Amino acid sequence: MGVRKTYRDLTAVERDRFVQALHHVKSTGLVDRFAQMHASHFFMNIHRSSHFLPWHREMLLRFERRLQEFHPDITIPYWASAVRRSTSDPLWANSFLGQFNSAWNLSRALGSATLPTQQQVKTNRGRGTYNAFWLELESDIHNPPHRWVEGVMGGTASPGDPVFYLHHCWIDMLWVRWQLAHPGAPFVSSGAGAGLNDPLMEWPRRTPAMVLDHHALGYTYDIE
Amino acid sequence: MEPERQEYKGHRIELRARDGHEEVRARAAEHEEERELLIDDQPVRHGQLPDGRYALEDYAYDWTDNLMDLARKFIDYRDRAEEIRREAESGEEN
Repeated sequence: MGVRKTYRDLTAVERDRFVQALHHVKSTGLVDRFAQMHASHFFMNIHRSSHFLPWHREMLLRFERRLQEFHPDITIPYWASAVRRSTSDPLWANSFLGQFNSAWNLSRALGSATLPTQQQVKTNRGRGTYNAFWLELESDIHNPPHRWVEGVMGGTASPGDPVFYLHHCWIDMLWVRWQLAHPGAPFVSSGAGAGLNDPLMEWPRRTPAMVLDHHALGYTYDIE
Repeated sequence: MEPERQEYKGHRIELRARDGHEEVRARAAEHEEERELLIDDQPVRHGQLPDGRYALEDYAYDWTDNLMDLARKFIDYRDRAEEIRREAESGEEN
């Protein structure tokens, strides 16, 4: 089972392998296809909907599997932006994600907004119902890092910036942590077409019910 | 519908009914949004989320139910981002 961990714990070999894999999937057209797919569904049920978390979990999983075709040991690392808040953090060094800014024409402007705080994350973890949890997570914790990075990351085609995957890996980890803290909490639909067994946009054979258990999907997190 | 116009920090914001161009009509139908937003006479693509809130395609992670308010926030945000880019470029040159 693959273990997703903070990018801070990647070895130099793992970091370089991940970077090379990103360049590879960019060359195959996958990055641009995922960016276009995300943009085309942006105003549908993938945001401001109870499908927000399941849809992005499925998306990350599919992206990770393509990275693993480059090297089977790769897992997507996460960027905990409530903790790693500096624009001069190693995450943005040219040896890591910094190189993509000019190479992929991302037009980042790091620091364009305010990142979420650790207190916000802690408070959000304590929400007792799924709908209270995801609504706050999406608007107050997920949205600000998109604005903070700016450029491609700030638009509907944000998966065109590789930091999208590290950011959403953190959001997925926060969902896992909340699931572990609230094992009996049921999935709550936000409206028509956003139920537990309703199809996910783009992948009509996949539903939230199929992705609730991340272990069954073949990965775990370093926090577990 | 009468156009709604506003000056904000030297920029012109306009909200108006979309014209009859087919591509524009198709986009409007897709996002269920009938109004066109322009800043300094340039169209700004936007849409509505499932709860009716607006977001802009290039400023997609700030959601509000008031499109004019969102346009003002976008102007502020864009100015701030440009300032950061200028500072970064200046730093690279020095």
